[in-house]
Amino acid sequence: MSGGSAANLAVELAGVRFQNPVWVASGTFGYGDDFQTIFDVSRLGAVVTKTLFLGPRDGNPPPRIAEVGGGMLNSIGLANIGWEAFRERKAPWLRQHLPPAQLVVNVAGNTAEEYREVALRVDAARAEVGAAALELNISCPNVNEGGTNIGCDLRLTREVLREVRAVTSLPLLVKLSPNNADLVPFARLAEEEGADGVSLINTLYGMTVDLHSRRPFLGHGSGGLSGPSLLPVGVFWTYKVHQAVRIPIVGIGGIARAEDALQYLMAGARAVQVGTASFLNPFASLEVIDGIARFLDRHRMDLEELIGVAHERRPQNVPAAAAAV
Amino acid sequence: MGAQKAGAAHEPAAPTCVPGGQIPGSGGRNPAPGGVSLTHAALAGRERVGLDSWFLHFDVPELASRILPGQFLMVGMRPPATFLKRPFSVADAADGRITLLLRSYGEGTLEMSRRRIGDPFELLGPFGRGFRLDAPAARAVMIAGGIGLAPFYILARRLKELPTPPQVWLVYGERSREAVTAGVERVLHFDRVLTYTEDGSAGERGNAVDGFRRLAAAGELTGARLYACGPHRMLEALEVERERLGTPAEYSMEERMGCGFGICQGCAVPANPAHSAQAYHLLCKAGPVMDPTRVLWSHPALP
Ligand SMILES: Cc1cc2nc3c(=O)[nH]c(=O)nc-3n(C[C@H](O)[C@H](O)[C@H](O)COP(=O)(O)O)c2cc1C
Ligand code: FES
Repeated sequence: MSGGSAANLAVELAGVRFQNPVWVASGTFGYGDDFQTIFDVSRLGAVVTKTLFLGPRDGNPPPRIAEVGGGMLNSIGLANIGWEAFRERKAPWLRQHLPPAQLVVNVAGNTAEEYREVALRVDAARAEVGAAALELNISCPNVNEGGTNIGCDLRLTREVLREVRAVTSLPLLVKLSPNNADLVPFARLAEEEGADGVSLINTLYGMTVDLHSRRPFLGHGSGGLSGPSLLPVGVFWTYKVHQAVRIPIVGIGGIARAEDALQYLMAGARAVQVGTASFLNPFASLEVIDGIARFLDRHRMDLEELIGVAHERRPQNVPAAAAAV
Repeated sequence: MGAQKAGAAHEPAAPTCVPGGQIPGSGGRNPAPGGVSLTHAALAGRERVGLDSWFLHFDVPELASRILPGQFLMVGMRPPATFLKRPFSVADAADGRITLLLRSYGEGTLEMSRRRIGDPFELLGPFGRGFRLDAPAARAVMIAGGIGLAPFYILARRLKELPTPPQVWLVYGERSREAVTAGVERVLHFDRVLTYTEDGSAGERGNAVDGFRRLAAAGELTGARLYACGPHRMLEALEVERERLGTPAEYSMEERMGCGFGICQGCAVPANPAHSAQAYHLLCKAGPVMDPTRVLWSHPALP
């Protein structure tokens, strides 16, 4: 792992042991194989796949990406190759290059039935593809309900969770949308419906208007905000949700450096996901792993001692120099 | 491929890295063949070659040795002046040096043009599929619109290194004389340069596609292979003419890029339904150099 580090980074989450708490986020790592010529993906805590639907999806018209203050907007539109193509063309590579059970398959559907169907198929192929867990992307429009974002509607979220929970015993993580006034009811709902954890947050709604064309810049109109501006939002919801539920939290949003990941862990996340940062620096996730190990070494701490420490009553006053990673 | 929009600008900082050195702990390992590396490089040279264009030079022997003509790099500055890196076609790679042709159109590229010798940059790549060097023709005709000139320096150089090098002609369109990249006509690899400007202030009046029409009318495209790079509208107009003649061709295209290596799905280019089951190609992997028949040129989403 990190050269000469004594730190044990392994973490147990939703009944699975991950070799470290640093994962890469859905939609920001493709299906893993694009990193073939970049680094050894077996060093990661887990790879989360791009959201897979049952069948392929083309996604939205260009432009799909815009740079904005504090990050970027994307309107990819959940373009993906579909579960079957993933199983045939991508899973074998992952199987070969990831340690067993370090793959998290992220899925979604246009309706609750489609969620169930894709979950059923992942469950049936769990050994073949080496799936450690299922992550549900609920930030998707339900086509039977006039395109309402499922992740912004408690009833639709419950419906999807029931369908999925009924057909799989895979550890189930529900990825929450931050486009809600309060995420706590969604996290509680996930816990009630038997989810094994929540990952948060997905992207925030956003738009940028092009001054030349005087129209929304993105081909789809609006998009999802990601990058550094999400860091305090994600840390906030991690902290709040940690107070409200017992199931583990996977922290996501704006993580580019170990310092960012440490905030999530201290706020109560048991693992984190590096997203947009991999675009700017494909090695960002590895640097986060190394930085966490250095921090633990320097403070002679266990990862477990760090998780949720921000909730402790007694303030910990550490000299500024020692706080550095 | 040019570069586009910018985020917040920062003041340039003193160089902190070894020229051509790789980021410790990441690119420190040697990339696999065909591998991608993140190279820290100090700006080694900067030449203004037109009203709003510059050559930026970097001495990065390892990276330079791996560039194929038509490939691109994702380029960022330290400290970053843009959030995302910007895609740049490599204009030239020879003798351990990489040259980029920069045109400043937005905050980010303007800031890049202001960086000084020694300032730190990050070069990520090389990425993408470049021009084919295995499809020889007696004459290579390159059609460049504006900053689309960039990849033709290295393409011409590499074509001239082939055992039986083709004749290399360049048709180059610009807005006006001030915008024309200085010295193009003296580049040894170009056997003939036809310059067009929209206002007629240099070369002929017209654009690069007019140049193509003229060569076509004179029968000078027989047995030629076409290479084009420029704004989308130019390529679209060119494709109408080219299709009629059936001249074999490759076009280097431009699209917003989030990553440059296939993971963000941001760089979608509409696919020609006659040749493809999918609606879009990912330009960073399928291109940036495309067979023009694989692209749906008339798509309403294109600029
Ligand atoms: C280009 C892009 C595509 C994404 N695609 C997906 C996706 O398919 N499924 C999903 O659950 N989240 C997707 N996300 C959201 C990320 O997984 C992550 O939740 C979000 O970007 C916040 O993290 P970050 O700030 O580190 O990027 C995508 C994000 C980006 C930037
Ligand atoms: S630029 Fe990210 S997939 Fe092409």
